[in-house]
Amino acid sequence: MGTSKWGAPLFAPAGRRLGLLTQVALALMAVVLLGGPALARGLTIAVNSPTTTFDPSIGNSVPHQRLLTAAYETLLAIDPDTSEVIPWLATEWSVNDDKSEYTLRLREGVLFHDGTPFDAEAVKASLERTLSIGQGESYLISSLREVQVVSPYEVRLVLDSPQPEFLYALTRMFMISPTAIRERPAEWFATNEAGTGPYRLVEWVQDQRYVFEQFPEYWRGWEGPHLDSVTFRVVVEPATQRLLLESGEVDVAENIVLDDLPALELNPAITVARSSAPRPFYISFNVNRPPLDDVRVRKAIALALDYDAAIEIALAGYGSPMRGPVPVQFPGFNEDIEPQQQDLEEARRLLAEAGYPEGGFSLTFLYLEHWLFERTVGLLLQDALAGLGIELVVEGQPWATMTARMDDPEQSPDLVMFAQSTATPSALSILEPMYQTGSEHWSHFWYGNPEVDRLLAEASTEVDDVRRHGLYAQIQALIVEDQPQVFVFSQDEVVTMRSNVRGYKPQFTWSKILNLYDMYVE
Amino acid sequence: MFATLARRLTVLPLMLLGMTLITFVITHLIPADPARVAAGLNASSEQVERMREQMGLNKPLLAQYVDYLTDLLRGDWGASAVSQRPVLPDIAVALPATLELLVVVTLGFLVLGLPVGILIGSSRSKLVSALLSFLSYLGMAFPVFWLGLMLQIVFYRDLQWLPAVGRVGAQVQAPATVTGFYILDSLITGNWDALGSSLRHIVMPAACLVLARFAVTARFVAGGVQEALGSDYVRTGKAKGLSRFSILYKHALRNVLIPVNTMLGLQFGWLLGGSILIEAVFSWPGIGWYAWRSIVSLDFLPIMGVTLVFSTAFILINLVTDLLYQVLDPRISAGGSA
Repeated sequence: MGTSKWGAPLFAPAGRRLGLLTQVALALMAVVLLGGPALARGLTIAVNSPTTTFDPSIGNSVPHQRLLTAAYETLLAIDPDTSEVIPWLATEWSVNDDKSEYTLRLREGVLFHDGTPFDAEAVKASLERTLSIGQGESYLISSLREVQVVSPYEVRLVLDSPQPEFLYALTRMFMISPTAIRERPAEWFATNEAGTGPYRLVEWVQDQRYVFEQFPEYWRGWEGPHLDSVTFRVVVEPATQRLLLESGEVDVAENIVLDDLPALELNPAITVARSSAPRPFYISFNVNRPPLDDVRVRKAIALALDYDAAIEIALAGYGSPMRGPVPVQFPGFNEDIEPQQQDLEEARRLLAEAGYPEGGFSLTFLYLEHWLFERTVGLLLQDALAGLGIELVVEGQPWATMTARMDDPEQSPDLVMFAQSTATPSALSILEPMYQTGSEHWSHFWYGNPEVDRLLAEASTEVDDVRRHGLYAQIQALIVEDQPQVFVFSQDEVVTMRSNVRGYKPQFTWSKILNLYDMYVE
Repeated sequence: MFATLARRLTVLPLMLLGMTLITFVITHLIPADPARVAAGLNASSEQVERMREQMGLNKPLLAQYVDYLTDLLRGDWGASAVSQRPVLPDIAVALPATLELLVVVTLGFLVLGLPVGILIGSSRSKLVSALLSFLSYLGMAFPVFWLGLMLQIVFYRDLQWLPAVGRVGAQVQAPATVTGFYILDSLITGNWDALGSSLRHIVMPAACLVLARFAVTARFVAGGVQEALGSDYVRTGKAKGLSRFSILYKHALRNVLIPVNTMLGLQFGWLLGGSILIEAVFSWPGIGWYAWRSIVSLDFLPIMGVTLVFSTAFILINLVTDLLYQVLDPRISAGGSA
């Protein structure tokens, strides 16, 4: 036996402590190196935010919806290829002439996870619950006055006023077991579920993982290849998500950073599924504040941005040009509107005409702090405007501060960049909140045009689809003319997964949501 | 010792009251609307107003503060406006997660910092002590989240020795909650799978924080050892013929532990709030991350809850540190430090 540096022999009586310590250390090491049990088969998805509530009447953002769409279902759905409304838990529908009453025929033989059969009473209970709680996406059915149970499988929805696009709202309302609504307190819904969907929640570890298993009595049946379980794991750091995806520990990673995608595209074990999605980004002008009150100045700024560079640099190429305020995928999109292109000559000309041939003023540009690609757009614009003699100060703020400043005439920035969320493919759902004079929606930024207001009012009650789409087209044309915003780009939907994961199809109205029932692992 | 304990514990509530008042005032001065955040993006102004009523935001500030305090005393710390989840249970889950990590990190400071510090302080070779100092400072030079990502690449991706994220393996049943410390709970409930898994999961996050800051411990120890080696009692010991080992471990070290005690207390406090980066990189569901999420969404009640917890923690850490002084050196009397 040698002696330790300190003059005491190892494992000698004075060093018995050392011996014991070493033994304990060795034992610990043995326990540490023991592996865990073998991985079960199913799909593991890495997500970057924890789900804070599983309540279908409240959850209204991606972290909630990715779980809600696994366990709950809606009356109707949107066909991802045609953007049309298709039957789901409701099989047929008819609408009265002035679109104020919708009668739905319901699918028979559907069961909730707790065994309760799905019927008209369930529809009534679910819709009334969501309305009374008044949060989440309940605003979509705010015009619902009454739910009438006509027969066990027929329900009539009576609205306060004609709503030509009410069917869209029914693609977002989740059906909840009436037994659960009756018997469970509200808090139960935060961590449990009572839906009809293909997967049933079996484990909820707060902020860490959510595990689902097949619901055997699911109405579509389980013929063919399917996933037997789905696990969502919370992995906050995108770089770590990438490591887990590359090692195969997770099958899907939802939040890989754009800059990592080109490297992943080259990896044969990984598939980068990319699709164009209605995820529009706008830079809104404070149209009340000079010189932005002059439409020529606004147009000049809009013409200054290098749109191609914005997509290439800020989105790493994963985006497409916007054509006006309404996403191209939406029914009623005005096909005549072309994407804006950079044109510095024209911008200079317009500025000179407006009285600012050398520019000579300064503007503040606000973006959502942790969305660095918005900052990149700000910097691109800053660079372009510098060439016109306009100074752009680029600032990032957290969400709550941003919305507060947007409302305050003193503190309001001159330009603010944000994305618009699109719950339904309804052009009205974008146009009304953003452009109606006096709209209280957060995305409204000081704009108002009486002609637009008149057309919006008419469109919201126009029951004929063709005429309504015509009105939408007129509104879009007016907005493009008024240029209250720069229409920057529309971000593509990108999902990265292992190449042996099959069956994925983008659901463009559910951002970053997987069509789990159709997917399987080879 | 008990006199100190008693005296300090009576002051605790007053200090906490002061903390809640300060935090309350500051969070209410920030120009943002928590009712709007809670009601959701597309809420109508009626819905936002209803939310504001529900959250009690229309009452005068003093009334809101009093309401808050009375609820607090009843054990109701309110609920998050963003997630609707009650604050106290969430903190009760998040806090042990961070504490477990920090206890392991503090042990790591001692395990790594003590020997390195002793070597630096007692080495007769200037080269050795300079080299060791440099290596320990290297850990401080790297941003801790970068260190985390690098460790993940090396130990998870390349060597495949350690898991990348979480407190326990995805396929392993988390241990039943007794203390909230996974390692302890696994031992208590005899859940060996969970024990092994928790130990494996804590290695990398703890290692990052230890590497990032053990230099401070090492520095203190080195300084203390150097000073001790030059002191009278050590020279007396050498003259008496005591071995170098005996001098270092039995005499010098005991005295060095006093400033180390101070420094570890401060480090623990720093780590409590500073662990957020490691918690993000390793998806460790601790209180740093909970605090960050609440701050970013201006979620008042969780922010207040977290502040209360952090203030209490700081005060308790100081108390423990002071009590430890008395253990380490009986000459420090109870009345010595307030």
